[in-house]
Amino acid sequence: MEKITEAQTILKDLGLPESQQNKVSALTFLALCGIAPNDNWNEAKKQSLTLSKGIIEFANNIYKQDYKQNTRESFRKSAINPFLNFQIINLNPDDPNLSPQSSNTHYAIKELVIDTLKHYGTDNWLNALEQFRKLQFKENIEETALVRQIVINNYKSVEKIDFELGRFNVFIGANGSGKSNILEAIAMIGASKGNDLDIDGLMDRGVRIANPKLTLSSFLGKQTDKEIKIATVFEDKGKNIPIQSIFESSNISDLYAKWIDKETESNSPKIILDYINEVYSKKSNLSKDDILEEINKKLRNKGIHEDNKYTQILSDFAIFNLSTQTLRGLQSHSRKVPLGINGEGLDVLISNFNNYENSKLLKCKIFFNWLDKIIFDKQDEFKLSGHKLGKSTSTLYFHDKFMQKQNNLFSAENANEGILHVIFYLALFISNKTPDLFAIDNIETALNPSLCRSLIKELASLSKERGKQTLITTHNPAVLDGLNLHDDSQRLFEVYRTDEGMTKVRRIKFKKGTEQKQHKLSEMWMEGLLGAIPQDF
Amino acid sequence: MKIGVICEGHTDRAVIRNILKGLKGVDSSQIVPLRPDYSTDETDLSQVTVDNYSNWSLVKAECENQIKIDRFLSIEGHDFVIIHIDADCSDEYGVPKPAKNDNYSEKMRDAIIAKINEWLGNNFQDQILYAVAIEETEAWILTIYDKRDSTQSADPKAKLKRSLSRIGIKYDHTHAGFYEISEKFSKKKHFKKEKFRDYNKSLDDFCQEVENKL
Repeated sequence: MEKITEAQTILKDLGLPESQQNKVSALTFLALCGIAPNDNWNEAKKQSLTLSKGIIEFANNIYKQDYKQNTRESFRKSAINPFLNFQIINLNPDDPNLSPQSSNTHYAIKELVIDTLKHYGTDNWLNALEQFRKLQFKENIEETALVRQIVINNYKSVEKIDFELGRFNVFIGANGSGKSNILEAIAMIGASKGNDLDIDGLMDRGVRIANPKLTLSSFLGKQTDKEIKIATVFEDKGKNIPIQSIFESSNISDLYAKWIDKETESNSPKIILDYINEVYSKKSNLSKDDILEEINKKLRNKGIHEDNKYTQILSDFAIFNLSTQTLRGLQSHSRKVPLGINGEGLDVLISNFNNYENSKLLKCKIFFNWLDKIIFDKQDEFKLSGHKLGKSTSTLYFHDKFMQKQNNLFSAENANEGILHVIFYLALFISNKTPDLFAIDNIETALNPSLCRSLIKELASLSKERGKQTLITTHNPAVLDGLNLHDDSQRLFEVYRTDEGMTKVRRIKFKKGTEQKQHKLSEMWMEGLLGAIPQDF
Repeated sequence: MKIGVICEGHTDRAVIRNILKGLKGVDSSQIVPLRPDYSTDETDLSQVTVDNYSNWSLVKAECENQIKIDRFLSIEGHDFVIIHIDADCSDEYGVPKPAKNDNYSEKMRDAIIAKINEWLGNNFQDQILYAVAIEETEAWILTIYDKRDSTQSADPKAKLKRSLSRIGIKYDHTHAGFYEISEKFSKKKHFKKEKFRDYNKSLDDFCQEVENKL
């Protein structure tokens, strides 16, 4: 029947897998949408139905089927459970407290699906699907706060800098100008706010560990200050929220000495009071001993540190610096999840992508004309059938569309390095499990200049769409051509050192009135007009 | 603030770098070399003879073309461009030398500035600082080592070499070499105490322009 075929097509368009495009799934979908054979899809309506008396009877009466009551399990397996997983239906919307075994268990199609179906058969269907995929999973539309200002004092070559970030920030500068030091300073405040301020915590975020004497700024003729101060200001719904750290080493001559965040120490009484309030507000009838026990438990689990949305964003910050060997699954150093700072964990992360994330990831096809499909070999069966040597732990495979069908599958171990880097960056920006704030050091590694430009444009757009904020360093001028500096959320910075060796940052911005001029940033950089080049040779 | 510099050679920029530091505390990171530069690759450079590389013809070409100056000045904080040229070859670029009397330096400088403005089509005048060295940048450096008027020195290059050799200073004809031998310009106190500006009018004129405009 025509309507059943249409329902199967719609389920496919909504991103349900092949196993949910069968007749049982289609009939369940039609029942929950209340669509009879002669109805239009824009007449779909929300109605609560039980499985036996609602859905199966609808299929039998309206679509002249003959499903017996003992086929309920088949409906559950083929339709109900996957529909719930893909969040196209709600469970027990009329009585959320029903027991799972209740005979009144019922289901209803989500409003979002009804709204999307209104566009079926119209020119707007593809846009409606895009919107559906975005809103389908709540975590896809999570709003985040942005770090607006960063002030760094006394960290390595940075004596003092103070600058304002956009959402998508690119840093250029000669080798040794101090770009990585700026990123590391943010990682250091992140480690502290994540209660992880030790060598492992710093290294996991991409900090190069140096003797504390070298971590504190040291300039000829200047006295060394023993404190590092790193301050950030978040902007969240029009409000400014400052978060800062003041670090002092327990022994400046000892490479293994611990850094102490004096800001956290000075806030300790307040944090403990907050813990008491939290415990007391939940269970006001506790005895003194019980309260102490609860607080001790919290201290053991969380330590003494501020725990809020902003400290969490800083804590998740990491500096990604990809290694092709790691992307191929041939080595693994970083413990950070879901993505390690060298490229670890890519296959696992994207094999768990939801529909919306997958549709975004498949955009990488525009960058690689040979790419047909990305495949995950979760059972490692391809390895056993000789598709790779077996040294790589990656379960990622690609289909090449130019190769013969029976022989077009190759593993991450054999893939060209460019695609691995591009997929990693896309996954980093697309996923709702990756940090909201992160840095990428030398984004151009392994990428063709023209690809750099297109990738940057795509990532800048994804950063907005997916609520990510990033700091990127590069030595490739083509990266700059992917930026739109007339969009204030995309910013370019020069990092340079003064005659005294101090790292400074300045924003590179066009003057007003120059909007109509053709100034290609890559050429301007190569001509030396932007600075950010070594000068004296 | 960033200042672009168009000059005949990298050595001239080294001297200008020290002067800007001494007079106005301008850090080297604020100085952007616009010419000479790396717009020619090594393949093409291998075909270029010394005669037509890094001299007044390049300065003229940059002024006439204007693309680079325009691009540089389009960025916020990029407000000035210094154009440096030596007076020694002025005949070649159509500026005849005036009589060598008391006003020689001023007349020479004015005539060269008029020529530069002609090349520029009279554009950017408020943003240009004219570094006209009479007769060569070496004459400016001579004011550090030889306390006599260097404006009318016939061959400042040779004279500088002799003067420095006499006191045992060897130097390379490179940016670093000239940065080192002109380092005294980088301190205000030396300018005051040693009165460099008294020994070369064109140096004094450039300094005045820097003080007034920057």
